[in-house]
Amino acid sequence: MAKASFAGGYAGQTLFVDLSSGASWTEAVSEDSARRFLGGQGFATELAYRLIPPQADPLGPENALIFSAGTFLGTLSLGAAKSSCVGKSPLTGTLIACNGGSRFPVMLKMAGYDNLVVLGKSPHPVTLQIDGDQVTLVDARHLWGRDTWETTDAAKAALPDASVACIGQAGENKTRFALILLDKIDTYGRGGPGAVMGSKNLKAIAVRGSRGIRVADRRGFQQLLDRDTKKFMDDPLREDWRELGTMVAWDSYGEVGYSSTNNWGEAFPAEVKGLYGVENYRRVRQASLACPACPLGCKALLDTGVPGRGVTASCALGGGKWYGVMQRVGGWPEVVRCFELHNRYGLDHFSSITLLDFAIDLYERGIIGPAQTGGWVPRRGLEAALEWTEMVTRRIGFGDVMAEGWRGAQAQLGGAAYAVQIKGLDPPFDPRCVLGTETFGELTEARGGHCTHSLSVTILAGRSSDQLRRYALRIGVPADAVARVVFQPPQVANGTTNYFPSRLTKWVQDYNILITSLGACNRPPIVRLYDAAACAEHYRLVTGIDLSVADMMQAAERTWNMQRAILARLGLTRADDAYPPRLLHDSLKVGDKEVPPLDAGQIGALLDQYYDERGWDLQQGWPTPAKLAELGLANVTADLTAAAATS
Amino acid sequence: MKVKILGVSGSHRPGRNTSFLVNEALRAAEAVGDVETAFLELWGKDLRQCDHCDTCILPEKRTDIYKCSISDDFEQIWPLVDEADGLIIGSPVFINTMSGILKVFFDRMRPLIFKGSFTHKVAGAVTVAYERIGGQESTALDILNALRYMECITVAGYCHGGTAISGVPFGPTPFEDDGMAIGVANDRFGLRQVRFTGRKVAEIALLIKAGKLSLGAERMRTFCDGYHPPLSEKDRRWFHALSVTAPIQPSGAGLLDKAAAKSDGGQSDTPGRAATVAQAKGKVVIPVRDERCTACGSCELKCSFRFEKQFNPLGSLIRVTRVDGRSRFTIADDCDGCGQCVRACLYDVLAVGPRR
Repeated sequence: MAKASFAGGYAGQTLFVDLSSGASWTEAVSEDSARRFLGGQGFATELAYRLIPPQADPLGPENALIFSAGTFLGTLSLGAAKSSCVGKSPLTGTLIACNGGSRFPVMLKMAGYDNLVVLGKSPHPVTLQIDGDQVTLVDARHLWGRDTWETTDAAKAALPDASVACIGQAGENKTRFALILLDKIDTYGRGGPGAVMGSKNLKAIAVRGSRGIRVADRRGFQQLLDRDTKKFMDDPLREDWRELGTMVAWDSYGEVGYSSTNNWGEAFPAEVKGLYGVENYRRVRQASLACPACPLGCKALLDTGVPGRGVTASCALGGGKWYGVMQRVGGWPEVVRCFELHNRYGLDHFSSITLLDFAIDLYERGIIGPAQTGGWVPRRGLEAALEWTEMVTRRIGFGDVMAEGWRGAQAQLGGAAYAVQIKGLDPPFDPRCVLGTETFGELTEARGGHCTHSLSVTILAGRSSDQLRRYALRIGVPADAVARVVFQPPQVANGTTNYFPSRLTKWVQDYNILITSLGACNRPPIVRLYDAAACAEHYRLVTGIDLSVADMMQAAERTWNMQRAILARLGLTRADDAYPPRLLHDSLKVGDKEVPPLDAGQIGALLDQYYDERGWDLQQGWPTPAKLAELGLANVTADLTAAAATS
Repeated sequence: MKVKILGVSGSHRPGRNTSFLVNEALRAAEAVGDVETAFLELWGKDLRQCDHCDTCILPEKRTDIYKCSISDDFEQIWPLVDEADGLIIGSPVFINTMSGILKVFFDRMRPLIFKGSFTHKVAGAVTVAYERIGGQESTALDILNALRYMECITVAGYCHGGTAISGVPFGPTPFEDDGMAIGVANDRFGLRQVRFTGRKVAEIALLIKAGKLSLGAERMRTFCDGYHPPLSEKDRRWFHALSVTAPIQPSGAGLLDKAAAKSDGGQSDTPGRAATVAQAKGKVVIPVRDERCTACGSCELKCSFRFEKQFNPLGSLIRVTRVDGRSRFTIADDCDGCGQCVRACLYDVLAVGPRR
């Protein structure tokens, strides 16, 4: 057995499980890896680059699913509960790069592993049981066909005190936007990790352990905790966040136009504002739930009407936005019903409902008709939402087509002009409303249209230059780069008022990768406890490894470049960093305002700036050999040269 | 408008000199008018020593509870002290300072201190010693210093309050067999100080109460809720508002670090599990507000961090799971009620109490 060699933080081992042969083995995590990739998303990216061949079929045995726990996980670091799940995505064909909390990754570390790599394909459904050193594959044929809740309960009964990651029927049927549910509370959601598990005949992973996680400097760590606790308790928005979770942003996001319907045509119609608003939300909310060591508890237990059977919403705002505004299911009790069904079947409701919205648009425009839908009428309302969920989960009729995700559905139905997706994944935020790092990040994120790694303070417009400059310095942007990113009005460049979202996005992405790799959550009340300097101090106290702020930012940049290299190896180029035509040609109605479409010329200029800030090639959008050499990724250069030669 | 004055005798001889003096002071206070008095004899009550578990230091200012891990007669004493507008504290001189029982009384006032109970309370001291210059003054000062430390507004009739002599020349001589005689009854000068101290406590308490009424509830809400941390939300904001305009740079950072290290929750110098069990038999952690629990497991992490010096939730003495949408706690038999998990929870879910 590999021996842990870290003073603290890391568990020190990677566990490999080959489902085809049933074998399992461990590998030590080297200090070199730790210094270069930090943990979590960084480790997972490094492993994915090494283990998943570019030509792998995402739903074939050669794909690997990698679960990596953040460095601070297992300790009392406030809000440090995030882990990453990385693999090749069946939805986008590129990368799964999900972040999820819950007790699952903490238990993985307690069992002694920073990373879990699942390889191969089991001949029949199994549950992977990890009880410290004991790794067993248990027959799960009796669980096949069960939903995530039943599976979680069964797996916990078989291994008491364990945490469970599992799939529902959607994952079993390889619906390409199936998710993995973690302990019924959080998810690895986007890009179809559930379908990958299903393709491997892996129904659930149950893990427990009590090897413990140390910190290198106990006394220093306790002082840091006391300081962070005080800072956290002083946060004026803490109670609101604890009560409402992401619903705190309901009105502000809605008014900007982030909650749209009619296939990105109209946002936040007056009648939905109150109907799915905070007051009605309070009526279905029963309690707050938290990931381990999180003092916030932004997750909500929602009332299903059945005592003792609440459904957990990890992002309640997402329920109001997708089921409520987009699908008009009727009210919060109906939203909860949809939540429960998606949770139990194990479906990413962002993609699921956005695809339904797309199908409705195509149907209304006459691009598809009863011939394509098998007589089913795509429409809004609760009934349609429940039917839809059933259809895509069980691949019934039209549902079988749509379960193939954006690429599969477009290939069969057409309608590319109306499909709002970036690299095969629908973005949660509309760049027409605010072109900040979140929405520009959706364009450049390796896994396609998602914003987790580009969340910053620019999600709502109107930050002053001073605020942005302070923010940039906090997240570790060097002083010379700050001058490049933020400027004083009245200079106006590319439609932005006082900063380049393109250039800032580079730094925000690196910073978010840093935070995620360490395991910290990026919900505002938690992320406000951290800044780049605090991360470095925290990292030293936990692991005993002294890294400068610049070292840490570079480690995150290394991870980001490696993810880009994975895309480049697949042959993706600048042409794939494209907003969907609908956002470039059609305007969005927000109240009585018309938000104009994006300007393709401006986006092109922003991409130039972004690649420039990243040190990437402007034509291809690939990391240049010089950049890769600077990051110590010479092996990647060789791979990219080979990829360029074949494409 | 009436004020309540509470007299406390810290003597180990109930009904003797100290009680006599405290009651004299209360009588003088009543004579001021609009004064209600109550008298508390500490001797004979079940008063256990504070073991500084810090359960009383809540994460947020709370005025509605007295939080303590020890269950004894202080549960009756706290409300008496809490509701009093003025205190008259009496003690005999024991080895140049207050009696041990009175010190326990002060130590166990911490739940009241942190809820701001003493912020506008008036207090005076009366002391008695056998000898003519037998430590009365320094003991009175010790009591006043303790009261001031607890945020009280300390007063003395004049000099340092009431300091009286129970022995020669007014009472029995050392070799006389009438040690039970109340010598202070004959100490005219001492009685004068004691009565004026009682009067002054009453008068100042009346002034403060009248002042509060005259300022009105609205204005009073802007006053500090209590200066000992944890501060209330508004007082914290008040402090931070000042900090923004005039940031105070800490000097002597080394010293601060040292102080912080001392209060690090006992991480580095905690005795082993066996030692703490022996020290604090009979206490256990009790979930008291489980409806506020989000099952974040900080209690588990903190427990294991203390005993194992590493984080290991499954090795913790307290375990929290969600069952049917509620948090369910399992507390191991060898939990000694050390209160570490209580402090790790920022939402007052847990408390330390007697093992049943």
